[in-house]
Amino acid sequence: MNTSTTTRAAADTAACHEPHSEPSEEGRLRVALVGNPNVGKSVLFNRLTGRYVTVSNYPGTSVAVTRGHAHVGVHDAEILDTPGAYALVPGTEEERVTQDVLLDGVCDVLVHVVDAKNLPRSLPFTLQLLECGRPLVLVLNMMDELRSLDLIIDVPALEERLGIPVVPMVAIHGDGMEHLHTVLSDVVSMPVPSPVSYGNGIGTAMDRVEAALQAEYPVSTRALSSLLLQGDPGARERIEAGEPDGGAEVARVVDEATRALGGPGVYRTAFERQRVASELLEEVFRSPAKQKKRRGERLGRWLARPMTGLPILFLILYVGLYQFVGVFGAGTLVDLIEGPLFESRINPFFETLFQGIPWESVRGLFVGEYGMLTLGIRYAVAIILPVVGSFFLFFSILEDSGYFPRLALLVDRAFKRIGLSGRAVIPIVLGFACDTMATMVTRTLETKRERVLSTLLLALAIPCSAQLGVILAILSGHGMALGVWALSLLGTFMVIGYLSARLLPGETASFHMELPPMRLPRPGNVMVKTYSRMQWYFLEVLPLFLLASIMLWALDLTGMLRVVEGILTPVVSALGLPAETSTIFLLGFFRRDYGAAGLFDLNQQGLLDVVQLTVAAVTLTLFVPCVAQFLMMVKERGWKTATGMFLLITPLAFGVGAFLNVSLRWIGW
Amino acid sequence: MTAHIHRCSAHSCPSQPLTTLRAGGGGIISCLTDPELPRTARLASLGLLPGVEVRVVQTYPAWVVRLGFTDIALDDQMASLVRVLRTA
Repeated sequence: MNTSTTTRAAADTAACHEPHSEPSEEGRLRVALVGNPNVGKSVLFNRLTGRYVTVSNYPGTSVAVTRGHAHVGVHDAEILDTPGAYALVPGTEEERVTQDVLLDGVCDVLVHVVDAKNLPRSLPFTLQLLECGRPLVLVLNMMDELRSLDLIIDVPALEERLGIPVVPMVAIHGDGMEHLHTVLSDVVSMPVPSPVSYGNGIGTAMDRVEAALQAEYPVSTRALSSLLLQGDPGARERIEAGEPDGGAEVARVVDEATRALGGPGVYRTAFERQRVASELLEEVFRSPAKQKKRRGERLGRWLARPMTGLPILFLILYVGLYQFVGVFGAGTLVDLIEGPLFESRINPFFETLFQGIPWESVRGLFVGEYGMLTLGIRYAVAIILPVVGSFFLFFSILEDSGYFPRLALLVDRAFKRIGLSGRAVIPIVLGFACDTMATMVTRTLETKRERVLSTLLLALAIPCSAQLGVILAILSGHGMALGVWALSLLGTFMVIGYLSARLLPGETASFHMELPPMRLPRPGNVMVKTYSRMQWYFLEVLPLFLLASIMLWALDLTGMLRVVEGILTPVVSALGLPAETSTIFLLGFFRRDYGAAGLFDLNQQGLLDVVQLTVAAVTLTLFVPCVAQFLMMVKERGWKTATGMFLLITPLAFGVGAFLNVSLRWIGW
Repeated sequence: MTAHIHRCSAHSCPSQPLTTLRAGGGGIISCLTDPELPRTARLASLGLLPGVEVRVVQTYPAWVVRLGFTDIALDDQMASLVRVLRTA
């Protein structure tokens, strides 16, 4: 799998500066797939390129542009899969990524993918895309669902009215692919479609702004003027950079034209587009008088209502997280791989292999207590992999079913108290799989405030699956300890969330989300999704594991390990823990899960009592995120915010640990 | 279609906020009220625009409204921005 993921910066540098439909310099036709979340863009991408990108049944997983190559008729084509967007004016950072692709002209052809049965809702977006001045193809996906609901779309009439090719498809089965290929291979010779004409003063306002634009832009001046009227900051930035007078004249014209509209341009334009679209639909879209009930509708309702939804949530958590990930993944699977495979076969094999090396210190790099092979590989493969794998499997099943948007709805009220909207439940749940991945996904949240809050909570109180699995395995024999651990995390999550929501300026984000239909998870999809997530995780994890092994070996060899442990010892003893645990905190600095695995070892040697185990587990979970997550925090939130969080979390983690130690001893545990 | 752009005044507008409907109730959106742009722009891009028919599916813990074949979840704040002419 070579699908490369590119973010905004890369999209910017790849920008071509011609508004026409000529293939890029390398002669490649660049095709961008655009559309609402959940309409099958990624499925179509996979069909076109033969490559896999994660397909999910909830909004907010694709956060960057995914690229792949395909042969489309005579063309060698580059396909760009953009994050789901509802409009050209972006509301989230992911939508901004999509807007950048369109405004910076990194594509030659646009393919607007819509869910056929929701054409009425998507058509205004098609009208916006028509303004971009590029060949446009409208794909009506999920035609099978349209037919099963007795809806009819007059495709030839739609083609005629819009002046663009319309391709009916069922992308998941590959129906209509041939038609799409034919259309795409001719598309370069097609004339650029003309935008529809708007009434109610909108058309005139656009004309006026368009006439004021003097510079050349990679996107049509029509699209720019429309965005400027809607008050879009992205379009404004480009005008300021492009116009000879820094955009002052254009800004003046925009203000004037907006005033003439008698109201905010963004509504006026939206209403007018909606009007044009409904007129058009009257001719091409027919629905039966009575709507049919869809499959899975009742289940969807049960999941979204507190009376039924909360018990189901607890059942899912118990079966999925505790039984499957905790007991099966972290227990059965780890035992199966670690003992018979590593302890009795692989590690002895490595030991024999490296016996020939006469220098003990060099041998120690590979085998021995901190050896790259005996420690690094063993932790990664025997302890972390089964846990992470089982979590990703569980997560992918839920994701594919369409459960998460219902969960978001269910928790919205509770989340508002900690300054988040229900939407944030998606990165938070994903955090239980991998906090690094989840920190990246906070990009899908609408306000900066919400992104900062969720990044902090992920870093502090959400244990990743590896950590979770190992800690569940260690504490599973002690019900009370497990309870104290869970309550400490939940308490910290709520208290810190509540406090930072009060301290951070800004308003709580509002919540809105499309609920996709409940679908039976497709085994193939679930497997590939699990596999690709595990692959991402492993490629990112293994090098860090090895690096951590090398650093520990070097520290040990130079005697620095004792020095650092010496520094940590007073801290650790304030928590009532034996000196050996300082190694765990050192390990935890490299990776949180790595630290947890160290705790697992220490527990097996019987070095800790129940209180110590609980305190260590809580502190380690709250403690500084792993190196990878910290780097992702820096990337997403910037140095200052990331460092600030680091400085907040470290004393907090040890503070909660110390408090817990004193309280548990005091009540006589 | 009459699309009110500004806040509807209670005297001149026969519509009511979406949040006064019960589950099962429905209406045609008459206007979106709120001077605060980003939220209303969001509603508009989700397809909640004057002239569109909506039905309330659920009211708690968040609102679920159906338009066409799509269910959209909204919190109280977002839902109260939508005014409807009641039909059911």
